Amino acid sequence: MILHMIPGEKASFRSADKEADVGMMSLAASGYKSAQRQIVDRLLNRVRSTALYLAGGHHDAEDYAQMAIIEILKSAGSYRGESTLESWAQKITVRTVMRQIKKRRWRGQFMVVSEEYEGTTDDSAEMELSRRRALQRVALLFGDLKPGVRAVMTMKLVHGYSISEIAQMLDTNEHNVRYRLRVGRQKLRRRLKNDPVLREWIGEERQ
Amino acid sequence: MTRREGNCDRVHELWGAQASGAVLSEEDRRLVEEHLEQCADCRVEAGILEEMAFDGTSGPAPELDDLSRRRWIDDVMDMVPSQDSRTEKVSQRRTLRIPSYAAAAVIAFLVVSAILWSAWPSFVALSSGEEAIDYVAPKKLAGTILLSSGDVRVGGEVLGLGSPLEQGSRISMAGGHAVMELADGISVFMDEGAQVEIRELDQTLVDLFVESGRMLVQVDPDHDGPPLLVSTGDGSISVTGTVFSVAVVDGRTGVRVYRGSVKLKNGTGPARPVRLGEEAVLGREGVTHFSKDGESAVSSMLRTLEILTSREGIALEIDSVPVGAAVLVDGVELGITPVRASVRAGYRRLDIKKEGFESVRELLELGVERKLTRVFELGDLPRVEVASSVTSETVRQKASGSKSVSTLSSANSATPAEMIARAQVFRMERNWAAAVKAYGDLINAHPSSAQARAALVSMGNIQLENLKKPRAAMRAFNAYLARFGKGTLAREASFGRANALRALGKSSQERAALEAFLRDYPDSILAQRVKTRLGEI
Repeated sequence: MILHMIPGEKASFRSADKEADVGMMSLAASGYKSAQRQIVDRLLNRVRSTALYLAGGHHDAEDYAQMAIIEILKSAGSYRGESTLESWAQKITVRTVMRQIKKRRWRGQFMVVSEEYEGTTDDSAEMELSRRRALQRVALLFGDLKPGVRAVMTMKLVHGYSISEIAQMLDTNEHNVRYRLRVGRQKLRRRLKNDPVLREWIGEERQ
Repeated sequence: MTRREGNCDRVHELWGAQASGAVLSEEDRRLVEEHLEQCADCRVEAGILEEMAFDGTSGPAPELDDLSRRRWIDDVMDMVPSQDSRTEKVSQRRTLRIPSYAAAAVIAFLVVSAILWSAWPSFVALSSGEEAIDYVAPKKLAGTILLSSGDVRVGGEVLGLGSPLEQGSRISMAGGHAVMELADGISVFMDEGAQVEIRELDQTLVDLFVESGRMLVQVDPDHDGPPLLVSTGDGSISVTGTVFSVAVVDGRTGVRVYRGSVKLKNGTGPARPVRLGEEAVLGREGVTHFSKDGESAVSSMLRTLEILTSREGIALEIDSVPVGAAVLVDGVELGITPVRASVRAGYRRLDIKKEGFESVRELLELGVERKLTRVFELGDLPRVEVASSVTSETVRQKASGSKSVSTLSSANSATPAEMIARAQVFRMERNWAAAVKAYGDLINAHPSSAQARAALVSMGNIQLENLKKPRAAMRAFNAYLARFGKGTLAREASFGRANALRALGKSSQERAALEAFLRDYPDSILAQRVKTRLGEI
């Protein structure tokens, strides 16, 4: 039963201590390696996942993620604590990755899929790998969407930002965000309807 | 429109409203919940969207183990200016501001003199009726050697790290391979037997003439440096940003493009493009799509290029007694000892391997010093009897607790993760027999582990494609399907099984296996290949 899971409902992400974050970002901006390293470590998973969705599963997503992290560190001095560090970093990530995608205009050719298990030995490792593969498949489905639609879908469905936050981050209006979200959701829905792998995976997970 | 479809639309509308920030009424909420109970399509969508929501730790990106994570962060940190370098730049700027008025006057005088001096010939030429030609020679560049392994020579001299590469240099791979960086963003992996000459290396052009042999070229699409032209006796290949290989063998030049595109030109004819996944022969019409053969070698070379750097790289010099041992850094084979490489700083896993000798593994912290030299004395390997392959029978025996016929090596005490890492190292080295043995050891030692499942399929693939042992491959695939028929790799195992039957010449069984595959996985990306094959038999 998935009764309580309604899309768009889940928007929970931890709010870090902004004051401490401003201090840390200030140190990072001054070139302190330990502060920079701490920031990279904290944002790494978020930025890599965002980049993979935005790149539509393209193998260059790791490069994009690195570029985004570098941009975040270069801009560290401009963080004022007006939003969470994660939100602020998300905005830079989306802008950096979108810029790179426009620059390269390469279609997705290879997907980075971990072929074998490298983590723990229990069943949870297998479940985690299977989940990751399913999400990679979703990221590939994103590859068929326009980059702007991908960006909105990622920020809304993956990171749970509100329409107004997304509009602000992408420098566009709320109407445009809603439109892109509607178009993206329709296309994704059609794809999911005809994807036996994801259907089966969800079925297995739910039974 | 059916009633259910109508409800789907209504539910999607409500989802959309909710996604836009609206709060659903109790009635609408109940409608959504009731609809989800009845509609499988919407349940799938809701389920996927639920899984997509980022929980702060895991997403679709492949998981990084501790070492990879550290390396990832190290790579980023390398590219970010440090406090020291910033301080340095500021102090440099301050130094530049120091010149006094007297110095400024001298500079002004020199500038005026220089302008008058340079303008004089033009003035003379104009007054004599000749056309003035303003030519400034482009600045010459110097290339760098990032890796050398075995007998590699520049102009007859044995090549080492830092050997000068400039316009006119001739490089010969007598018995080894090398990686050179010709300009920022242009790297060339030269394989054994390659002979090249750098015809031009300046700000305006890098022209590399390939006399013979094979090489892989990587050009960063964002590089700021000069364009690259690769020429041979048959014509030339112009490049912007791409990855491609060139092979000059028996007087013919073949080109394969792995990323981006290149343009081929020979004689006075127009340039023709060759794009990703295509190969062409210079001087001949047409392009063809190449098969996946050799792709693992290319990805291995690309991984080698990834860990090498000219910018603040650490000079790593590895030797062994006896020589000829494979040197791997983070699982990437750099070459056979002696190896000289300029490697990115950070924590690196070094492996030294030679058949018949004990392997050595060491964790290096590169960056403390600019140069690291290691000489390893390899000990003889004690003789151990091992099984050459693992059958489903041995797997079953192990699973049921009875003693396996296989005699396991020292890997017996290793964890599944360590054992699969060991097998992967052999795979990267293209040491297929050793990889199969390592997978077999893992399956015997930890038959119920998740890694053992993956190992069965990997082992089957190697036996089929690399070792050409379809029967052994069949056993591995059958073992997987029998034990984990609905596992995550069932599709790969089913497809592998059909291919094994094909290799064994069992057409009717192959047909049945292919039909079953299509029935079970109609939307698989392999489905088209399966249909084509079914049409053939």
